[in-house]
Amino acid sequence: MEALGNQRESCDRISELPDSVIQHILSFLPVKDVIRTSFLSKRWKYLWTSVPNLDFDGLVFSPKTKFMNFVDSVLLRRNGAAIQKFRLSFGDYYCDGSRVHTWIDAAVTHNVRELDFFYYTSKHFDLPICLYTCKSLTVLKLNLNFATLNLPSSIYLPSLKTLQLSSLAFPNDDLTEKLFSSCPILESLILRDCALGNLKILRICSSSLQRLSIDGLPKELGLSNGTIACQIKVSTPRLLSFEYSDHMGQDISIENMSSLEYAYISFDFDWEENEPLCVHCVTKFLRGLSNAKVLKVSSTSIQLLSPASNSLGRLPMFYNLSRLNLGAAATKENIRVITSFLHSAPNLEILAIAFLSLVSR
Amino acid sequence: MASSSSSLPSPSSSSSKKFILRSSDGKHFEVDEAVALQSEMIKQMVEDGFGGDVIPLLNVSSIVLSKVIDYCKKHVELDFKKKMDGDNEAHEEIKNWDSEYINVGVDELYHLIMAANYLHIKGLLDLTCQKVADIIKGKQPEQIRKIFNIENDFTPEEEQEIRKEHSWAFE
Repeated sequence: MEALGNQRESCDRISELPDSVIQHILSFLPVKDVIRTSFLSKRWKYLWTSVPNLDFDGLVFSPKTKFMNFVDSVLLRRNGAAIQKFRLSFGDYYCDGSRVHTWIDAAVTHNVRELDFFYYTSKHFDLPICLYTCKSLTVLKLNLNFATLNLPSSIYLPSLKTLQLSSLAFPNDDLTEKLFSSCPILESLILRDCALGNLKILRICSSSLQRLSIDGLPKELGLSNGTIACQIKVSTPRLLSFEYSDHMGQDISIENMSSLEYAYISFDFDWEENEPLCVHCVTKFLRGLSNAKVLKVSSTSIQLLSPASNSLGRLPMFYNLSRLNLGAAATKENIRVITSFLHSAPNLEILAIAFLSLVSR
Repeated sequence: MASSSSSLPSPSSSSSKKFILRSSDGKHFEVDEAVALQSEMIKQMVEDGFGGDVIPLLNVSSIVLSKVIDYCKKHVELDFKKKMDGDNEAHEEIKNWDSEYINVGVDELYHLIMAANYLHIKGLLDLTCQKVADIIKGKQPEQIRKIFNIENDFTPEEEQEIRKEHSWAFE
């Protein structure tokens, strides 16, 4: 392509791009870099005021007041253009909770479509109520560094399609259930490292949900005896994809996953010597997934089941299963577990096994 | 300078419909339907009944068009692979191929952005705009001006004023 450049090597191509394209470029940058472009030339002076994405990262600021004034200034100068993505990531070291309310209010007023909120705080903190009835919101990602997500009694998110909750504690059974059921077109729900200590039952009922991913608390954060009192109940008739990583031996019941196509399971904990319970729980769990077409099972799950390999004879039948992916160390017990899976999948077309080097446990 | 597309491993390669694209300098490129339809603009033209013998692309030169077609071909191939081998492996390959592809000078980048914008090829527009953003990221205005040959047309007083207004963006 050398012929391209020669003619006008020294001309300012980037400034010739249409506004919409420049704003698209700016949407890939943190706000600080976006603001700096207003210094380039007159052409660039005001382009940033309608950039669709705003990404505020507190970690790049040292004194608290600086970060707060920065966000305030940007939002104050914002023109009326809608905010596509709004990302706030900071700790209470950088900001007072009350200021956060003003910012989220501003985002809601600008019809924000995606909000990504990561707040490290040790104090009590509530998100502003207007967020829970925001009509424009399609994606909501919250990470509260294990603070409790205090929910209001009135929740309605009519456009929300993706909800990702990470490192937070749920408030109580009713409000938590209400959150999931107040999003009528929710398609993806991702729960990562969420604390269930305040709950008796985590109930996920949704007739629109297509993708569910539950990645439990990491081992070291769990209770010492390895079990938790909270039950998980899932009823999602339209679910297509389910990913479940359990580090605790959680009691999970799948009430309805009749449309399921893809499932990934990873158990990574010790049952100690409670073999019958292990077989019972796993069998019950697998029965809930029995419509899956593609099943992926982690090597830790196979390893976990291997002491019970003799009693595993009757796994639930997977009549729709066409592809099975397994990881396992090549031991006699593991092979027996794999054989049990094969007996349960009469219509299997593809079997993929990743044999790991042998690790003694 | 017709370009052939026989290397595509997808089942659609031999049997599928072909399109002929004409660049602004009058050169013809024969491509598979799947490759041409990576462009939302062409897709719209075809839907509206303009998919006849030759599709004229008035704003794209042959040099740029051939590079754009490389992108579309590769992505049709990789999309097919993704369906077969699962997301993860294909994802890695796409990333590597894209980063090699976009390793070009500022001028070429400009032409690719304009073509991607005109032809409505979202993946290519994102890739090229991301590349410009990566160049801008973390740099001071003076450095950015130098890289892109942007002329500073502010008077010293104006510059002083903006600097005061946005002082926090420079620390």
